[in-house]
Amino acid sequence: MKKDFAIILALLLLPLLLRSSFIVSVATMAVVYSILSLSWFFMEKEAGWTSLVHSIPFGIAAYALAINPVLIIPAFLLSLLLFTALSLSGREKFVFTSFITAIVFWYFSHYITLSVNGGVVGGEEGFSFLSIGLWESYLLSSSMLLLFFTSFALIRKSGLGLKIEAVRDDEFAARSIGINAFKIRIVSFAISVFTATVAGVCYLLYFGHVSPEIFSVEIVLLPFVASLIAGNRWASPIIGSYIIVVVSRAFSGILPETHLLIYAAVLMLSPKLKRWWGASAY
Amino acid sequence: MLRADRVRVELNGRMILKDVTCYLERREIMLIAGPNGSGKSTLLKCIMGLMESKGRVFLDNVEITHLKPSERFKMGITLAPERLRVAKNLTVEENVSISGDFQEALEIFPELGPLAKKKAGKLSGGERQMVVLARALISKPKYLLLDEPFQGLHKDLRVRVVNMIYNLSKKCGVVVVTHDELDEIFLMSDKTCILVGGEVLYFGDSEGAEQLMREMFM
Repeated sequence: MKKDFAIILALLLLPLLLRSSFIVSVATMAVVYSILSLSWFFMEKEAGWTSLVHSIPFGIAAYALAINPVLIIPAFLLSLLLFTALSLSGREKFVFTSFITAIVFWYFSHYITLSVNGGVVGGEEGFSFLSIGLWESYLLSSSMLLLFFTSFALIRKSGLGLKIEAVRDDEFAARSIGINAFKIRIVSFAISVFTATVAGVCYLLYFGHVSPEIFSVEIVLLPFVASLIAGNRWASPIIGSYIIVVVSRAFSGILPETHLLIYAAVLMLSPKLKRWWGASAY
Repeated sequence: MLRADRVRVELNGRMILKDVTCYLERREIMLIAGPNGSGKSTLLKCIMGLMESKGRVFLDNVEITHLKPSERFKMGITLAPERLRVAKNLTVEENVSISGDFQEALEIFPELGPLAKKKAGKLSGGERQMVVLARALISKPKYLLLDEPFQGLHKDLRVRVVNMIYNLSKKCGVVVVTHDELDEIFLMSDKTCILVGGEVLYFGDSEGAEQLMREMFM
């Protein structure tokens, strides 16, 4: 974990040393997606639930902040409720039901509109919000990433972390020694959803705009792909997010949809990658 | 007293348990015997609240039927499940620490000391069973439900677990479901419940079950 922390710290400090606005803009995007991927990775690796619905807490948070910051808490609670409801069908079905839900949500997000001063805003165009600026965004997102990464490391070593892992490995055995498996599940979902919510807030504060694209399949698959690219360590989802963002930006002039090629390659190789990284241990 | 009262379980139209009633006091051992598929493990799961059932369960005259397993655990019931079920990706120490103090577990099973940092998924059957038993024992239960506690254990360790069950019965009630070491457990048990096809063939003092036990299992 210390090695992982050092890698992340180096990744975060590098743009500050280079002091190039372009590099910082790419890095900010990578950091925001890293927070999202880390939230996904926590739920997958720690709690054992493979989600394809993290775009929802991410996107809803951005929308809530853009519409009215007071809506952030209901947005978080709504996402948590959605995760809980989807989990009732069991771990195996969760991956499919979550994906279908994410796609349905993406479709309906095009119809999120508000009537403002007699006009209609939202829809395909989305909503605008005041960006806090490039450097401020970078510092905020980086701080959040470090905070969550450290928190996850602490959670893993705590009694709560052990209970989450015990439920992941064998729910029946965990329940037989008094662990309230459902409560533990909700707590682990809440941690993951909260992290994704913060990622959504960072996204909006950086871009200053949110549109239905935040719920797109690309965002749905991003944490999954990012976590598979770079191994099965806690730094993997972060390194993976950097790879996707940096490669996409590097080839954006020649091949604008480079990230889709990465997605396709990773998805095709995913069973093999899982074996390589030992991610199929549970 | 821990009492299961007319416990009934139906799965896919098949009766797994048919109005099973049995009970034991603190500081007693109850042996649940029966052929494979007679519902012995299912009965333990129902007592622990891990399986939906009809009928009622009482602990010290308080009905606990509606309580979740975690609440029953807090009231003093612990189950050591069969099939060596532990958290595979946690170390031995982490597995045991969930229930209580690892040092206490080492007093019961010193063999776990050198294995403390080893992942439970990489343990042998006997080592894993020690983890299962240690987790249950250090939770200091009032009533301990042991489902096949000798599974995977070698002869020396089996003898130790038999002695341990006897010593435990001085502090708490112990329910044992087993196919192994049946003679020893039967001889030290206060009550015996014989299940056949989900029905109680015999429940009462173990002395009264001797002939039936010899005819059926020994």
